[in-house]
This record gives sequence, structure tokens and C-alpha cells, in this order.
Amino acid sequence: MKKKLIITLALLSLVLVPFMAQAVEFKLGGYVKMETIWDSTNVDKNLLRFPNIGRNNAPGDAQHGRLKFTAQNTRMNFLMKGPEVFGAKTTGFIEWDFEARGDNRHNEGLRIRHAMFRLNWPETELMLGKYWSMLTEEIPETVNFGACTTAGAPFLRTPQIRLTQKFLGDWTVAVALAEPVDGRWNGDEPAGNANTGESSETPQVNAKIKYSKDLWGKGAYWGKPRPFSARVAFSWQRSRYTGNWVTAGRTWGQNNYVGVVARQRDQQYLDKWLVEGSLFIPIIPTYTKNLAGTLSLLTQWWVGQGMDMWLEDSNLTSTYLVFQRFNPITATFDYDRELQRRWGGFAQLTYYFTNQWFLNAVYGINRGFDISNERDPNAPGGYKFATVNAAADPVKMNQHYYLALYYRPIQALKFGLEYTYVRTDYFQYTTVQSERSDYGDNHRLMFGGFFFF
Amino acid sequence: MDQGYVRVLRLLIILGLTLCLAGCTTVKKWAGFPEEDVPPESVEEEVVIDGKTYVKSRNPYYLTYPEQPEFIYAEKGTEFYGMQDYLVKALAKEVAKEKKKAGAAVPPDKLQELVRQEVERVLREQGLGGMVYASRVAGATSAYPGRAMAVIPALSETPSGYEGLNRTLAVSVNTALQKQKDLLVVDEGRVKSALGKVTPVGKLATRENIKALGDALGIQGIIITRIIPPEKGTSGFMVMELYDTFLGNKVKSIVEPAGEAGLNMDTVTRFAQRDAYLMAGELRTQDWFGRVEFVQDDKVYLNLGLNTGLKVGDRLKVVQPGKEITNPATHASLGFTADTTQGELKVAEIIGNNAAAATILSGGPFKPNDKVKAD
Repeated sequence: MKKKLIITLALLSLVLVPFMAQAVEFKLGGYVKMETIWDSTNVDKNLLRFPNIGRNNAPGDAQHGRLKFTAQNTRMNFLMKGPEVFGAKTTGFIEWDFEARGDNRHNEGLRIRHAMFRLNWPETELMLGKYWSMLTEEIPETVNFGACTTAGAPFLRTPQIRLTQKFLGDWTVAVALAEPVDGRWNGDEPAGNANTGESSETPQVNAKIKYSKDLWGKGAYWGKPRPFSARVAFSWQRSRYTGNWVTAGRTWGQNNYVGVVARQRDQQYLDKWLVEGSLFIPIIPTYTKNLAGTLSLLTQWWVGQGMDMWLEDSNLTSTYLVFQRFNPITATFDYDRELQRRWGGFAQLTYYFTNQWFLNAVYGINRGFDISNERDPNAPGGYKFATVNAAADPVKMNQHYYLALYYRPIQALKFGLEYTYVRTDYFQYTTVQSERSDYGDNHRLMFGGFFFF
Repeated sequence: MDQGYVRVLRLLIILGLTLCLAGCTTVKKWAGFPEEDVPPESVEEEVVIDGKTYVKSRNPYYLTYPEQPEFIYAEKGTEFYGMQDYLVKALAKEVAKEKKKAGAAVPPDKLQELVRQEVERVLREQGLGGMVYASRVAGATSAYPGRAMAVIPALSETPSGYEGLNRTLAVSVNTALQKQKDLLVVDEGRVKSALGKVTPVGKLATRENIKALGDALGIQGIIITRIIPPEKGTSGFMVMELYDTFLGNKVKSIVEPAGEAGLNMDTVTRFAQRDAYLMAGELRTQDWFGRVEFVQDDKVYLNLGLNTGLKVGDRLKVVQPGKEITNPATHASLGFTADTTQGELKVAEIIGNNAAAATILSGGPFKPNDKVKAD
């Protein structure tokens, strides 16, 4: 074992040392995070993994309190500032966490979060690698990790090639070609899992424009003063879905689902898209570096379809089937697939009592819309719509409420105590035993401690 | 192609070009937009607000979260250092412990210096000398850390049969110095071309030859390497001499015996790898200066760029180097008079790593190879 370790280290040093010798600066950083979480029901650690909160009439095991301790959200990173090339400063960044196995049983596995490098000219940046999508730039500061846990905050880290250009001092535009969020390396999706798009043939295209200017002072944002900013971003990708595909779905339009065997008759290309806008407004501003007494508002709203791409829907429910005809040749009910439309957003108010103590309140929502209950006498049971999978249970609305009190005695240490109320409303009622329900909710009390290094 | 698509494509291209041009510094200047001032955050290390001191701090969220700056300000005593500084502090503790064990107490004011030396030693041993910050080098006399230098083997003064070894020594020194991040080491081709242009008269290391080579190469220091063959029972010697090109003086000389192994490739390579950094360190203790490349349209172009640490807005003075005073009877040198200031410049634009343009604040006219120093 020891021998293997020495050989591994020797090989690693052969690779790293010449690279480090070229580097102008090389840093190891990250943080250790300890979380203690009490939930009133059995929910996912990150709260927003569809289906989100189970119905309140679900079997008893899920409907009781639960306490967990975990350090799984600890992260580490390498930052490398390389030599200049073509007049540009070069930076490389790799960050990993321990969430590769999400079973929450202290069986953590290493996972790459970010791996990117970039070239920075005075007003232009070229970035290549896996990093935050430009649609996930505004992240609420919740104790529970802000981006992927808050309804209404689209979440994606993706391999991409991004060009960012500043102009006229206060404006920034960016475009990126990114990996489409579907498809597999080894062929099509397995036959039983045609819920997600199959191997898109075009990239995901992202673009944004942002205006940022100190108009009347700055507000606090993630521990630093930030000026007023307004931003609009857009994303599009075209996903391909297999034709002549038969699924055991459930009819949609009545309560207590009824199973149906449905066939998607043709191969379809569907356009997933998202438009979002955000505002950061210093309400009680500061004109210095002192954040005490400041109040700021960050808010972001979006509308789109096929939102599993942004973790605002499940891949089971981001599409649904619409009845077309009974096919006498194949003796099947034929359907076409459509994308579920949703809108959502969040608002965050942050107040700093001192530079060490601050309060954060967040409300987030996502909601499906443009849903029809239209009927068709020729469809199975007369219901025109069906889910793409027997396990799909379309979500009407998710709402999240966060209230967190933070204490940050030094920059390297941060403690937060947070209360969260989460509620999921479903499109349909279901009955379990004698209980009918169309929603589920959860109360969470959480303590988090961060040590940055 | 569909006319609609063509129109959209054309619109996008025009929009893209407009944005790129609007973002281009040169175009903005040409269009009359005022030059952007250097933001105060990038220069202030410490500010006092409402009676509290705020210091520049690393931002622990940098790159982990999107759109985060690398540095922020924090109340003094709460700032963030990061892993690197923690390591240095831990090392300092260990060094202090070791010194205590050895019976030598470390005075607190010496501790930091000892740690720095230890870190430098470890980095150098790992071939990572380039990671040592120039600003931390002891004795540095200027805020501008960057220097340019050349390594020249004194081939015409090397006994026959040892030219190859001397050339190896020079190449090894050159290679070792290239790892120093704040040094620009000119390549052999440029050195050869400069030697052809200058055609040194007499010995290579005369004051005039050194200054002329410095002007031809636009550098601040020259290392001359020599090999002294074995004689009268010695094993031979390897020599490195450092000259500053401002006055042409010899700054430092290292002479090392070849030892039992004798003069061979391995010995000279080891000598170069071990001692080249000492020469680089010594050069950094010399007064920082640069040269006027040429003057055009009221702008003075300098051979100093980003690698020196120069910033837009910096003021520089154009100087005439001091004259040497010698004893007329003994011809012994008594030293040099102070430099004479001939004018003042303000850096208007940094052009890449090795050049800058400056506007004239006073004095002139200036000519190529006039020397400039920090104001």
C-alpha cells in the first residue's frame, strides 16, 4: 500500500512540478462545512430534487421527524495563475466535493464540480471548461447550499466555451456554447428510460447582458458591497426524443391516476428554453466598505419550458404526452410529446446588523402553467393527456421560505442558523387509505458551520 | 439561405463587432472616452472608516461562486489569508521549534525572514524558484520587481578547449534564471546579435562594453561566465560575474572550485543551478531603471512593461547617470556623483510585457537609450 502511494506521489509530482514551475501562483483552497439538519419529514438533503416533497398522505415512514449530521458538503479547490499568453492573464481552477454518492450515509465519493481555465484580457474573457452556467449567476445565500436547493433559482454547472466582453464601462455581454443537458456517451438512453432527451445534436446556447453601476451606493451581497445591477439571460437547446416508443404512463386530468399504455408515434425535436432577468437593488446603501446597517434586495424571475435542464423540474415530468389517435395497425394509442412550461423566481432580502451579524430571508417559487384539462372521447378513459412514466407525478408548484441568521466573526469562519418551510403542490389528488392529498410540506431547522482555508 | 436568417446573422455580426469595438481600450480612447482610473481598491491596502480599519483580504468565495472578486475588504483582524499563508505560519512555528531545540532562540523580528528563507530554499530545491515573490526578496530597493538580464560566456577569454564547457555553463545559468517569475532572460540569439552590433573592444567586462551591451539588449544586468582551467595543483574554477548596465559596475562575483570531480558538464550544471538565483537576487537589490526606446508624437516609448510591475499613472524620471570620480594621482575610483534628472514622465499605457508609452511632464527632448528611474 505504502509502495503504491509513493509511486502515485512520484508520478503526480512528475506531472505537477513542471506545471507548477510555470505557474505564477498556485493555491489550494476550499472549506470544511458541518451541517446539522432536523426535518419534519423524510426529504432529500438538497430539498429540490424532484419529486420534491412527498404528499402528506404518503406511507407513514416518510411522515416523521429526522435528524442528520453531515460534512459531505466540504469542498476543495486548486487555483493556478499561469504565465501570460497573447497579452492575457491565464487562470486554471479545479474544484471538487464529496457528493458523488448521494445516499447520505457517510459514504462520500469525490466528484468534480468545476474544472476550467480562462484567458483574461482587460475587457474580454475566454473561458473553457466546466463551470457555473451563466443562467446560475445569482445565488441566494442560504445555509443549505443556495443554488440547487432554492425553488426558483435555476441551477447548472456545465462544460462550456464562453466569451465575455465588457463595454462602455458598465455593460457586460456573454455568449456560451455548452454541453446539452441530455444524452449519454454509450448510445441512446436505455429502452425503459426514454423520459429524457436523447443525444442532442446541437449545443446548448447561452447568452446574457448585464448592467452594473454604483448609482446610489452599494448593498451587501455574499459579504461584500455590490452596486445596482440588472441582468437578462437566455438559454436554448434542442432535445431529440425517440419515436415509436411505448410507455406505461398514467392518464392526466382526473384525480387518482389511471394507468395507460401510450406510444410516442414519431421521433420529435423539442426546443427547451429559458429566459431570466435579475435585479440587485441596494435599499439602505453603504458608500464605504462598511456593510453594517445595509439592506439589499436580490430578485430573479424566469419563464421557460423543459425545465429539468435547470433543476426546476424532474426529467419524468418536464414532458408529457398528448393523445392524437388510435392506431389500428399497431393497435396502440398514439401520442405526441410536449414540454411542460414553468415560471419561477426568488427574492432575497439581506440585512447586516454589523459586519459580523446578518439576517437573510429568501422566498422562492416555481410553478407549471399552460396546463389543459381538455378531454377527447377517443382517448383512453376520455383523458387527452398522459404522463411519460408510471412514476411521474407532475408538480404544480414548489415554494420555499428561508430565514437565516449568520455570524461571521472572521472571514474564514461562518455560522448560520436557518429555518426553512418547503411546500410542493401537485396537479392531482391521490388517495392513500382514506386520506386524500394534493400537497406535501416540510419544516427544516438547520445549523451550518463553515471553515474556509 | 433564407433571407430572414441572413438578416438576423448580419444583425448579430454588426452587434458583435459594435460590442467588441466598444470594449476595445484603443477605440474608446480614440473616440474620446476618458481613461479609466485605476480603482482605489487595487491600490489601497488599508482604509479607515468610522474609526475602524479595513484591510484588503482574500475573498474565500472567489471562483467557488460565480462573479466573485478575488479580493475584498474586511475589518482588520478578520481578514482571510488562505491555505498558503497558513502553511507559511505553520512552517514558521516549526522552524522556531527547531531553532529552540538547537539552542538558538529566534528573535521575533528575525522569524519572518527565517521562514522566508526556508520557503525559498524548499522552492528552489524543487525547481520552483519562480514562485518566490520578488517583493519579498530582501534588500529590494524598488517597488518595481521586474528585471531583464542576459547571460554571456566570455568565450574570447576562455582558454582553448574549454569554450564548450563555458557555453554549457552560460546555457545552464540562463535556464535556471528563466524559472524566476520576475526575470526576463534574453535568448542566445539576441545576445549573439548584440555582440555583433556592439563589437566589444578589449576585455568583455569593461565598463563601456557592459553599458553598450545593456543598451543594445535593453537589460538591467549581465552575467558573464568564465572557466579557469586547472593549473598548479588546482582542479579548475567556474566563475559567474554580475554587472549592472546602468553604470557598468561589477556587482557580484562567485568563483567556485571544480572539486574532486574536476571540470565537466555535471559540475558546471550543478554550479549554475545552485548559484544562479543568488545572482538574480543580487540584481534585484540594484536600483531599478529602464530605457527610452524611441520618441514619437510627444510620446516616449519605454522598454518597460507589465513584467516590471509598472502601472498606468506611475511617474518616472529621466536621468543622466552620475560621473565617476577618480583620484588623478592614483587613478583609484572614489565613486560616482548623483544622477542628474533631465525630466519627468507619466506612464500613459502599458503595451504588453515589455513596453510602455509615457507622456512628458517636464524636460526633454529625450532620445533612445536615455535612462529612466522610479520617481
